[in-house]
Amino acid sequence: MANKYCTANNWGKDFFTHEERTNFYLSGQPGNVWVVGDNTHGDAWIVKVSGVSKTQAEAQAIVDAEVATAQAAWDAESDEHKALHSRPTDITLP
Amino acid sequence: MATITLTVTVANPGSGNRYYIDGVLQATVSAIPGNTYIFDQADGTNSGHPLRLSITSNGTHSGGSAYTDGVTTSGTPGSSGAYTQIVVDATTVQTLYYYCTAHSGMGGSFNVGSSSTVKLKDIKGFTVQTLSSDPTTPASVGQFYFNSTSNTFKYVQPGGAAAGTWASGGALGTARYGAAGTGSTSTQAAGLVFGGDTGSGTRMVAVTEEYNGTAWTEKNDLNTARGQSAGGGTTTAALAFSGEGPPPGYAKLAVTENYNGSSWTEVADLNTARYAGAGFGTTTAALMTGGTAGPGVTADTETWNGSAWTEVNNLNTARGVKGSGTTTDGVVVGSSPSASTAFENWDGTSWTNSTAMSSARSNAGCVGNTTLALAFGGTTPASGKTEYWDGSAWTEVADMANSLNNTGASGNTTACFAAGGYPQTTATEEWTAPDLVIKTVTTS
Repeated sequence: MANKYCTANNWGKDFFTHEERTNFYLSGQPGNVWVVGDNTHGDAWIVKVSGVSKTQAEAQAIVDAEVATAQAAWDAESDEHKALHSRPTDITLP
Repeated sequence: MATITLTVTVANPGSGNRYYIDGVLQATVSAIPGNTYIFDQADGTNSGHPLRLSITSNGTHSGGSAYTDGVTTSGTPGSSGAYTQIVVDATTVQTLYYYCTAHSGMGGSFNVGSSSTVKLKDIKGFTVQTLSSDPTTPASVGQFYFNSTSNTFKYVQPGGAAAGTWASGGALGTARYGAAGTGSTSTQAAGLVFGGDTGSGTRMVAVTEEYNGTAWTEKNDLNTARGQSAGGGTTTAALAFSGEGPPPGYAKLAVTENYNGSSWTEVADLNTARYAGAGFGTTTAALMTGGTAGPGVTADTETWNGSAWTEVNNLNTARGVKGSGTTTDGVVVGSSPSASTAFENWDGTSWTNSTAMSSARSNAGCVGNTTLALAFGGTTPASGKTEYWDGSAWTEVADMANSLNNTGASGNTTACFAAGGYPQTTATEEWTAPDLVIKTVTTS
C-alpha cells in the first residue's frame, strides 16, 4: 500500500476521527510526522489538518532525529530508571 | 405468504405484569414482509391489557403513539376472538414495539426483516424499506434500506470490538507519561489522569486533569508529585497510590491520596512502597499489585478497604504490570522491564495465569476485567497494537494511530481513553466500539 507523508500538529479532539480511521491508514510518528494512506480520504485529511507534505526521505529524517534525541535521553537515565522503558528503537517508515 | 399466530399471555415474573409471547417473556418477534402476524389475546390473563404496536419502545408510556399502518384489532382482551393483527409489508416500519395501552413496561420488540430466515426471495415484489434515519439497535444488523434523508442505499453490519477504532481525543494540558488514569467504566467522557513524568527538570508532577470527552481541565494537584503511579475510582471519588518520586532519588512511594472531586487528601500508606505496578478499584475497594519495589520487581499484592491496605496473595510472577478491574474481578497484562504476553486474572482471592496475549508488551494500556478486556500500546518496540479479550481468546483489532506507551487509561471495551505516553506527549486517543456499523452502498 502506498503512503503519503506530512507533518501536522495534533490539536486534539477530531484531529482524526473514527470515520477517518476506517477510511485510510494513519500512523503518528515522532516529530509530528504522519504516515497517511494514499487515497482520496487520506488526501482530504492532510488538507483538513493543514499538513505539510514531505517526501518519505524527508519524513524519515525528521523521525530519525527525534528518535536519536529520545535515545540520548534514555541513555542518560539511571540503570533502574532505564528498566521502566526499553531504549527507543529506530523506526523505518512504512 | 403466511399468517402467524402469536399466543399472548400475561403473568408476573416478579417485577410486575409482563407479556409472554408463545410462552417466552417479552419475546422479540422477528417478522418477514409479506406475512401477517396475529397477537392472539383470547387467554383470560390478557384481561385489561390491550396490546398495541408503536415505533417507540413502551409506546404511549414513553411519549409514543400507536402504530396503525396495516394494524387491525378485534374483541376484548381476555375474551375469545380478541386479537391485534399486523400485515407486514415493504412499507412497515422496520423496528416496532408491542406494548400494553394500560400498563408500562409489559412489552417487547417486533422487528421486521431481522429474522435470519429472511431471504431475498421472501421480499421479492416488495420495495426496499425507506427510513428517514439510520437504525441504531443491534437488531437491525443485516438490514438493507433506503435512507430518504441522504438519498442513499445503506446496510447494517455487526459492530463490537472488531469494528472499533481509535480517534484523537482532547490534548492533555501537561505532556507526560506514566500518569494514572481512572474514571468511568462505561464511557471515555468522564475521566481523570494524575501525576506522571514530564521527562525533564524535576520530572514528576502532581498535576490532575479531568476529561469530559472533548477537553481536559486542570484540577487541584496531588499533594505528592509522582510518576508511574496507580489509581482507581471516578472523577468525583478517586484514589491515587504508589509512584515514583523526582530525581535524583526516584524514591518508591507508598503514599495514598483520596480525591473528593475537588481536592486530594492523604490517607493510609501502602505496606510496600513501589512504582510501575497495576492499581484499580474505588475509594472503598482498591487493589495494588506488582511494580518496582527496589531493588527489583515485586509480586506483592495489597487490597484497600477504604481505610487501610492489607496484604493478599501475590502475582504468580513478580514484574511491573498494568491492569484494570475490581477487587473481585481484575486483570493485569504484560510485564516490565522485559515485555511479555502474560495475562493474569484476579478472582478476589488469588491470581491465575490465563491465555497469553498475541503481542508481548510492557507498559500497555488496559481496561476491562476477566470477561471483557482491551490491551493497547506499550513496547517493545513502541506499538499501537490493540487486542480484545472476550473471556476466552485474544483478537487483534484496530491499532491506535499513535503508539502510546505507558499511557493513562480508563473506560471499558466499548469506550475508553488513553492519555499521554512515553516519550512525554499530550496525545489522547479514544476507543469506540459501536453497536453496529452503517455502510453506504456506492456505485461506480
